[in-house]
Parts: sequence; C-alpha cells; structure tokens
Amino acid sequence: MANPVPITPVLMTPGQYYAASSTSGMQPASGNSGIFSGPFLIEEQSLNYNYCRVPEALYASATYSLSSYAQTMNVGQTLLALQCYADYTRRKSTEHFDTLNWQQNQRFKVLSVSADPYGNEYGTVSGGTFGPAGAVVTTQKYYMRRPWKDADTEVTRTAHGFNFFMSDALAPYVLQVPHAANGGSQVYAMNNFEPFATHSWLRGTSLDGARGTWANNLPGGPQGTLHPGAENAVWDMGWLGQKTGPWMPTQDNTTDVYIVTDALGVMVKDSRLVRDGATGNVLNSYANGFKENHEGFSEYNPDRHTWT
Amino acid sequence: MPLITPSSISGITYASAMGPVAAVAYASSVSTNDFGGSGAWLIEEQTLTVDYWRFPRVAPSGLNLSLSAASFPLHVAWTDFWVRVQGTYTRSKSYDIYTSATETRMQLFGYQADSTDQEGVTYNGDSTGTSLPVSALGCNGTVFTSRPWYSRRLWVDGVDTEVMETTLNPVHNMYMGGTMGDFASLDDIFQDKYWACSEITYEGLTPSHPNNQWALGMRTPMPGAHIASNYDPDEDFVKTKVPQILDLVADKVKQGTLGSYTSNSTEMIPSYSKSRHDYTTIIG
Repeated sequence: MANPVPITPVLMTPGQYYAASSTSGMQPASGNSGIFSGPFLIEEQSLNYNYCRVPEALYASATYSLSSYAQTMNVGQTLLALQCYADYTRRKSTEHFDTLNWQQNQRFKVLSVSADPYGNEYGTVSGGTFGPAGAVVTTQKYYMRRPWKDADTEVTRTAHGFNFFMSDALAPYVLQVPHAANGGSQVYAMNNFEPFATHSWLRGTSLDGARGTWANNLPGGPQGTLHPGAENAVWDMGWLGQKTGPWMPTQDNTTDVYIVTDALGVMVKDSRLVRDGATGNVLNSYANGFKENHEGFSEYNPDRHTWT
Repeated sequence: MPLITPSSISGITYASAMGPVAAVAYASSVSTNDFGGSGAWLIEEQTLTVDYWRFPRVAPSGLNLSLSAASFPLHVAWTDFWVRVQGTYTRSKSYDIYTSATETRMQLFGYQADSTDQEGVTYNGDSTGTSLPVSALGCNGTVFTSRPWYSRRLWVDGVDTEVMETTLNPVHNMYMGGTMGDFASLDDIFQDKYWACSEITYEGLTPSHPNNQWALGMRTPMPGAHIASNYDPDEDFVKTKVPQILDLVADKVKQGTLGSYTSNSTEMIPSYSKSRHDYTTIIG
C-alpha cells in the first residue's frame, strides 16, 4: 500500500490580496503604536475542513444459477465527505491601530494528498485541486474592524460537523423516507469507503427474514465492526464535489474548491452541518426547525470568501 | 339383491380397493333398502398441490472499493425452497347410489421434478448420469394430489352441513415487504428470474427493474430444503422429506399461517387435515 504524500499546497488566491473595503493596503496592525485607540469592533471568521472523496458503487449486471453467481459493479459517482470546523468572533478591542477601519476577506489553501485512505493512487494530482483526500484551511481569516457602537455586542461561535450522518444500514427501506441517524460517529466514514459505497444497496431485510444477514457477511465480520454497535450507512445533508463515474484526478479543477468551500459556508450559515454522532431523524428534524442534530451559526457569511 | 352390512367408520379406514361409484343412475333393480336407497350421503374430499422452486442465496466473498472501481464478489451460499400452495376441502351432500354404506380413501401424492434451473443449467446425479437421483426433488417441480382424500357416510340431518374451503389465491411460504414495483404478485417476482431472490438487486438497482423496492422474506422454511453451497443433486434428499413438508404445509394451511405470522383467512383451509395423507406413493 502506498503512503499518501502531501501535494504541494497552493494558495487559492496566488499573488492576490483582496481587501474589499480596506482603507489602505496595510495589514491590520494591533498594539499600542497606532494613532487610533478605539474602542473597535473586530469581526473574524474562519473555516477549515477535512475532505475525503468517496465512491458510490452501483450494481450493473448479474448472472445467476443455482450453482454460480457473477455480477459486475461500477463506480457510479464519487462525492466529497466533509468534516468541517468553523469559527466566528465579534469582539470589542481597545488596541491601537493605524487605520480607523479595516476589512480583509478570507483566503484558503488546499492541502491535498496523493492517495485515498486505502493507499490507492490515481495519477498526478494538480496543485490547488482536491485530489482523493486532504484538507482546506483558512490561511487568512476574514477580518473587519470599525469603531465600536453602543449597540454592538460581543459574540463567539463555533461549529464542528459533517455533511452527512450515519444511519442503520439494515433498516427497512421506504422510498423517499430518509433513515434515522444511528449515533455512529462520522469520523469512521471519513476513512472508510464501505458506508458510502454500499449505502445505496446494502440496506434491507434479508431473504430469510433475519435482518442483518447480508451486511453481516461483509468482509471483516459483522457490520457492527465497521462502527461499534452500529450498522452504518450514510445519508447526506447535501453532497458536494460530485463527479460522475470512476474518479480520476483530471476530473478535478481549482473551481471545485471555490464551489465546495462556498457551499460549505452556506451549510454553516444555515446550520445544516450534522453534529458528530447524530441520532434520530436528522432530515425531518431540520425541516421542522429542530436543530439538535445540527451545527452552524447564522453569523457565518460565505460572501467573505475570496476567490480570484 | 343381498343386503350389505354397513361397516363402522371409527377412526380412518383405508379402503383403497373400493372406489366410489358416484353419479350412477338409479336402477330399478336396486332395492331401496340398500343403505337408505340413494343416500343422502355426506362426502368429504381434500386436495393439496405444492409447486416449488429452488432458489439461490448469495453471500459476499469480498468487497473491493476504490474511487475508480468496485467489485463485490459473491458466491452461492445455499439454496432453498420457495413453495406455492393450493388446497381444497369440500363437504357435500349426495344422493348418488353406492354399493357400500361407507367409504374412506387416503390422500395419495405424486410429483414431477425438473432437473433444469431457470437459467437453463441442468443438474444430474453422479451415479444417475442423465437424471436426478431418486432422492432429489431437483430445481423445481410439483408435488400434487394423485388421489384426493375421500370419505363417505350417511348424511345426518341437523348435524351435517355442506362447505367448500379453499385458499383465495395460491399461498406462499415467502412474503413481501416494501413495494411491489413492476410486479403484480409474488409469483411474478419469483418467476421472473433468480435475481428477484437476491438482496443485491434490492432497492431498485436492477437495471431492468428500476422501480422495485422490496424486502423478500421467508416465513416458513421447508424441512430439508436448505442445502449448503452450490446446488448439487447428489446432496439433495428433499424427496425423502416430502412427508414432513406436506405435513407442515397442511398445518400451516389449516391455520392460515404459511405466509404470515398471524392467521390469514384468505390463506386458510380450516378443515384440512394432514392425518388424511398417505405418502407411500412418494417415498415407498
């Protein structure tokens, strides 16, 4: 098995510095040397996430008899499983600054690796693209500073969640009705393809009426070994980075990173991230305003991302 | 004409040598003293037909996944029986003329077995060469009533009633959960091909049947029908289990529980009794 190696990081805004409403080109400098003493309102936001491209396997064809069975499967599409960390602060500062106002938008870097969690390599991964797995980090937080107003308040927000949740792989399937989250940690699925690759066809009651027969015959033992105490499949809160068919690095481009990161920012803003180990009816509870399984905060604004 | 003394029908009397002579026209030479003349008689009959199909159950041999390819090797883990049952029980009043006062005949069975599966693969025994071993029931076939159970005695006014009991439709030992998709009945599903028995095609992922979401389950396994691994007719001794199978089916049909846990009136023949079966013509 090959060991994944880091791909040379690429700053997503090479040679560019975007300061939409800054009053000068200078970096914000805190301390006591500035001529303006405030108080100031300082707003910051950041977003970091781990990603892993995962396959969805589809049944293609099969031949049967009483003494043989042969089937073909293929990868119908690949998707990005995301583990996201988002932060936001709005605070009061009495530091000194050289400018009265300052704003700079959020910038990112992609830290992709060359191999999937199983060590499979797929060819050269171009810098600035997702590749099979990796992380996207905020290299420059969104930052905004202006004079404090009496009505201003201080706020600290943080969110940690995923764009999917784990569910019972063997629950009876009902068309259009999502499964309930089973409390399994999504961290497992960030490094294992089975819950993703098989979720579309692994569910169901076995032919002899004994639930679990099928999944329990998975390599490695019962499905419970995939995650202790749980039978895991995945349901999504919004798949991102979909690529049709078997994946290869040439399907990726840097625009994917913009699109996925902005969309993830919207999920943070709308509190559509799913908390680790969610339980219950995640999708319906979200639709009905019960956000106990969800992570995010309305203060996050993806418009503050900079893509040049 | 001599008068024949009526015999007792305590218990069940096997009288294979005497066939019923129903619908014989009344003959003037027959004394009206013979068993009350033309009856009335109470005649009971029951029949049972069991169609069966052996189907494969597959199990994973591995799971290989990457972002560019997927394979899920499978093998036939065992084969088992899907059965479809039809039965009847009738109790009728007759004024036909008979030459005996009572008559009872046990229910006899025959069978037809096919050695070719639904995919056209033929299975023969190592020793028999071109046919199934004598103990095997093969890939599919029918166990049928070659002679109905029959009982006749004098009608008792105020006690006896006429009745006909039958299953509304053929009943199965399998059941369906979920939606039927493209299929109208369990018969449609199974007879389409073996793929309908395999969970790998579950949930509409079969290219030719994208609308099917179902859960097939077995409610009543047939004794001796589960055979491990690929089907091998030399390992098939199901014919020797026919008495147990027919006894089980009879009990289930009597209760209406062949295809469901709770009694189902459309699958029920309350007056059916396995005690009327005679298996000598099947297993000698």
